[in-house]
Amino acid sequence: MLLYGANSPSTTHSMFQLNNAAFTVSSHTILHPTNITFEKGVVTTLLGHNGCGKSTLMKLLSRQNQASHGQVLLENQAVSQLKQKDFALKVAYLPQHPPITDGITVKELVRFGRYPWKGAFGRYTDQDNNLVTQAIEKVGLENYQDRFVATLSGGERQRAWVAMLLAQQSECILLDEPTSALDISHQHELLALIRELNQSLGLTVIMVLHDINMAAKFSDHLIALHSGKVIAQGKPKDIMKVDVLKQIYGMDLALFAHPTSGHPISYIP
Amino acid sequence: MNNTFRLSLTFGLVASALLISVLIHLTVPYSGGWTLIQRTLFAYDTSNYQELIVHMTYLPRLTIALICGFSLAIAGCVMQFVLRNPIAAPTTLGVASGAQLGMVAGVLFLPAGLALPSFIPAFLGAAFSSLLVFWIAAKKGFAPIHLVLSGMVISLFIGAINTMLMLVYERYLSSVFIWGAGALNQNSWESVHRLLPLLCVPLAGLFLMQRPLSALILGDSVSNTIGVNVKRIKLIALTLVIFVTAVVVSEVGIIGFIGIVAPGITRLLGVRHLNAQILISGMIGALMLLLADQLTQPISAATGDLLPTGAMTALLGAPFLLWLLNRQTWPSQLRATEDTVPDWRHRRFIPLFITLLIVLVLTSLAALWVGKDPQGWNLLINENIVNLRLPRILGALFAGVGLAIAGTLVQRLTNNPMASPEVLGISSGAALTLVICALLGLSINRYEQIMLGTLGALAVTGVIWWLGKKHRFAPAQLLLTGIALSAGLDAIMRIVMSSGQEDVSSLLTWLSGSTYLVSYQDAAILGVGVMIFGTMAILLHRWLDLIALGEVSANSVGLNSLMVRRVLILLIAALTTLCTAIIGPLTFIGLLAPHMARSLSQNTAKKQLITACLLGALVMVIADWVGRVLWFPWQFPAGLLSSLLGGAYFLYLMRK
Repeated sequence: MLLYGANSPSTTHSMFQLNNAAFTVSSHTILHPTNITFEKGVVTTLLGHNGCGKSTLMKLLSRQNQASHGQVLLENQAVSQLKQKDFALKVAYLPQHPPITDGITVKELVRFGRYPWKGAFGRYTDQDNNLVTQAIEKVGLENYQDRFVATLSGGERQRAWVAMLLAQQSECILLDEPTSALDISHQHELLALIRELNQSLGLTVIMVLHDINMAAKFSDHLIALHSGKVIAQGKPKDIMKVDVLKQIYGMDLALFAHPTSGHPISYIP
Repeated sequence: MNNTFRLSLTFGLVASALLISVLIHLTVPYSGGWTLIQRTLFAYDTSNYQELIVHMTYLPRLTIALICGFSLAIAGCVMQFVLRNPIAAPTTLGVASGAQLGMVAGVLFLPAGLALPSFIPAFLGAAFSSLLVFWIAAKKGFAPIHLVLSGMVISLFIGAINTMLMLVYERYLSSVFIWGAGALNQNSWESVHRLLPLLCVPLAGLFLMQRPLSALILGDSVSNTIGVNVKRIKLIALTLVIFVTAVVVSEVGIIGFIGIVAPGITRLLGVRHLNAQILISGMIGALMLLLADQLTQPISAATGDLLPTGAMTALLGAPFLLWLLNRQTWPSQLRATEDTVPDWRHRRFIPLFITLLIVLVLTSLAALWVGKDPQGWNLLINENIVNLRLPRILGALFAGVGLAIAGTLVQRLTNNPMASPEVLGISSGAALTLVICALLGLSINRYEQIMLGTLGALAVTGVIWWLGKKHRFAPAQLLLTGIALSAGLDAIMRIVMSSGQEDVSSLLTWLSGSTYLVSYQDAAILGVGVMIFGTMAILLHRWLDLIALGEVSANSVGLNSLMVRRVLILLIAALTTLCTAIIGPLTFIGLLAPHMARSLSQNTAKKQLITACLLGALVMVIADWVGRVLWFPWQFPAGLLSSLLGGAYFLYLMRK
């Protein structure tokens, strides 16, 4: 396996760690002092309704915002101290709405993922090209390599961006509502792909999802936020309980067992 | 909006009102002060020549300032409201320069016997340019920055046409210079009598429309559902605004910034309702123009030159606009609102490259050998002719390359296909230093000229840098800062040009991008500089690809956006400065060449850069040659011609 083979073996078990990290905007606290650990090799999903602070948390992790108090650590090192390129080698981020890419083909987009390894002047070797090809194959876009990203459908576009994250070979990927623009079948397809990558490559995934059932199905760990505070976290089976769900979403949700797998499924009674 | 701030602003207004009354006291003719005005107003005695002068020149001038300030501010206010764009104004959207074109065309082409009031051609010109601007901007859904940029481009384009007409019909149009800069001097009440009815009607119309207009704030789709015919309302309002602007322009010329700044102050004061906004903007505008005029009069009197007031408003308004822009935060990521499925195609790079290279070489050789003499066309291959023509051809060629690279960088950096080096104000800075030197009577040779131009361009780059720091050189901020700067500099330049000094008017050809002063040494300097910076740009092509993804995604793959933006700004400044210093500030190559490269399907940064270089060089060489033979034995400056060619092609391209 060439993908992800290049990274050095990790010395710690936590990818990200928040030490009393908080975020305030002009005396308005959006995220209260928070202590969470994101484990390596695990799919962690952030839950909560709009404005609960999960996007802010993602922005702290991806360094788009700086914590107003406390610290955000990446493998025991404060994220703010890392150089942009070094950070990119560890963490890749897919924004909720990937930017519009005028005149860029799928292959060119995926090649951008090699930038942190090669910089502005480094030569792309056969290894880089292989990695790009592999990443495109992983997301199933082999037949679309030379198509322009702007001409793809929403689902294909999202997969092209995921391929770029893969070519980046970082240990952790951050996905902010990756399914928000997709229909149900593409949602399932994308999450299944991410789960597969996590299991086959040991990729650490941290994402925001709105659909509690999808989150429970594809994650190892769920973290629920409410008004800027973590109110519950644990394995999906610990979160999928009537009282916990009521706390998270502020409304009554009922559960039934999935007819085949037996996992709890939530619904509005 | 905090209270202390509002208080200090109100205090500022009261203070400026006091200042105005003091200034009036000082500027009344014959040092008569307020007493003379009082006498003239309440006990007018026609036999007293002092009162006569006050009555016939001073008071009409005050009145004109009040009326024009009031009208322009209201026009700006309504325009900003309708277009939901805080920096829309008659001047930023090209309305004013269109009106100027209408006037010029009217003077030149209408039969002299036809006693047509001057506001009619002005209105037609203004309507024409506004239509062009809206026509271009409509494709992008009237996104604020896009609209202002298209206004800027159209202004530059129409400005080029104006300059061209002035060069050709120099004798007929010398008065247009002064008029074009907004001179408020009066010698009777005639102008006031003409303006009042023409302005009262549309202004009253705007006031009457305020209720359906206010509904526009809900957005087009919602307003439609509550029974407001959005399109019609917008159309009527904008037509009235354009009419008001045209009337003012036809009477006193272009007076910039009142239309942007007065509504801006009104909003800062916390005025919410449209009705109040319109009225208060109008009053602030009237005060502003009066203040500017009062400040102009003593300077005018001291220097003995006719100093246009419009220039003074630019001096006061430009810094204020920059400050206003700096207070507001703009989205750092510009997202196009286009929904159409783009038609992307692949085109092989190598064959295109070779074709363009061959065409460029052939064209350059043709430009070198083919010319015109009094007997007609000729083909000359002799050393003397080559020594005459080669430097200018090389100058045009390298300038084309340099500007094409600078343009590609600007467009990639700001993620906006309408941006160009000219828009950032760097070339205006270079032009302004030279014009000021000429005004001060310093006769400078070619090398001092290049050095001074470089200094001016560097100064503007410094200002852009300093203002951009706060917003981490965010693309939108950068563009707006540049637009405000170049508008301000242009206005100051117009003051100086209007002084009518010999040295200054001789700069006109340089200002319109002439190549015939270029020596071998100039071409060599330009060539080496363009080679160095151009190579750097091409080597950094990965940055250029990534930066277009927007800050978030670019950072995510490890690009240090802040550092990259800094380096790119420096490269753009260096290239623009070089080209401007040698061939003058006016060309559209920076806008045009990157576009043409894209329309030839060269989308990745490296291919776009190289294709744009060849195209830029090609257009400049052709423009230089055409300028040489078209109007033989006179010459059109290559920059001016390329602006015309480029502007026309650009219009076509933007709507294709």
